[in-house]
Amino acid sequence: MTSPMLPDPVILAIPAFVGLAVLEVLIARWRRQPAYELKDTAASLIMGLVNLVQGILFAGVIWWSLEAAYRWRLFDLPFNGWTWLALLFAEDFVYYWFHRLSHEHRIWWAAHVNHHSSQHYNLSTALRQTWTGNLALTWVLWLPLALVGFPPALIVFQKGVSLVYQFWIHTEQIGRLPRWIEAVFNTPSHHRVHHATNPRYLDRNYAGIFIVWDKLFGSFAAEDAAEPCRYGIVKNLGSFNPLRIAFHEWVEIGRDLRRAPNLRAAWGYVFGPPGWRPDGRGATSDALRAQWRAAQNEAAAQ
Amino acid sequence: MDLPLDPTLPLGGIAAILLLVWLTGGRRQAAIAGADDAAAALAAPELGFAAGEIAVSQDGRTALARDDGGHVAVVFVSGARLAARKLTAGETIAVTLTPLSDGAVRLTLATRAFTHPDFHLRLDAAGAGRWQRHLMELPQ
Repeated sequence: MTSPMLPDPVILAIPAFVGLAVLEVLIARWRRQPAYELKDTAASLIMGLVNLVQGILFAGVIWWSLEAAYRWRLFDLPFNGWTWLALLFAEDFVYYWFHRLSHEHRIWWAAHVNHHSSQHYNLSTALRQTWTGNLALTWVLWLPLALVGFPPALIVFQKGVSLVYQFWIHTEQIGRLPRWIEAVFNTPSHHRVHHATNPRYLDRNYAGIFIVWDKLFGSFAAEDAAEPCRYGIVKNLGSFNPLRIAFHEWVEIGRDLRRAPNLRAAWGYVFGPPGWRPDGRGATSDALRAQWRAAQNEAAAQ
Repeated sequence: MDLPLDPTLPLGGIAAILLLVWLTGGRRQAAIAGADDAAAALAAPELGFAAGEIAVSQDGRTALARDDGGHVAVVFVSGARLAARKLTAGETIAVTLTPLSDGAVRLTLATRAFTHPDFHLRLDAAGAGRWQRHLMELPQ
């Protein structure tokens, strides 16, 4: 059975992306906040544009793979609203694990790090998307949804819906939302934490639409007004060149592989956590958090 | 050929946003006004660096800091923000000094980093020599 085609939510949302970004620039100006910077914004928007083009080029491969998996489906789920509702949660669950893997293993971090590379946090940052994620085969994680029996067209549609949802949470212009919304949904507050390099915030809040996955799997951290977020990455790039932004971590992986003393080290450099070193002294997120905790405890004891 | 997307929409949108950012002051550059600015940039605990001695380039674009263990970190202007980076021994390629006509010395630090690999500081002669030695003797 071939699934009927659905529109691409990302392409439909482009006018809203532009309109909301314009609105955010004006609000930030009105509030006298230095939220936008020309070179940073240009880099983010170019990253987003190229991501859109490579997504169109890759669509055939992903579609063919989803259809192939769907032929081996376990259940015949009807193409209706109930199936979409189930997929809303199932796809978000997959997104959570995709996102977590993208932070915890360097090969996928290399594809994802560009999204975190801006020291600003605004709606243009949302568009600073990967150029290499499809090459890193991250889309394979969505194939089990087709194996379960979700129609490929619905999966692709929901992936787009999730991406569109995540656009509006990349802002400092919205504070905390009502408690029930913060409890259930990924919000600007939760996602600010995700983009922060403060040790207490590192590798937290991987959610796409529903924050409940982070609460279930122990990766949730609430934004603390006493500790403002520092955006960017632990080792900031100092570059607005989209090519360097897109490929810097891949280049660093290549360099580390060339000097890897053995296979174990080579494996660690590729599949270990970002910052991993063979001598165990790498600045991984866990190590940075442990150092920070130790310093906090020491300060409290004095 | 039918494109799945009319390119005028995203390209026009990009142009509109960039024009607005430009008009609303998006070209500003950060500067390192003094040692306090550099120390503040290095105070983030994720850098794991407790700055002691600090030297700020006379042009306010770069600073070097050293901790008690001999480690050195560089603070530099990255557009409207400051960025900081702790240096490791294997990362440094060369540290050269170039005398300038006004008596100052330009210290050039070349690193293996893929992004922003080179740093230039305008220092007094004594300071430049001292920081060259610090950079040549980085601990592992």
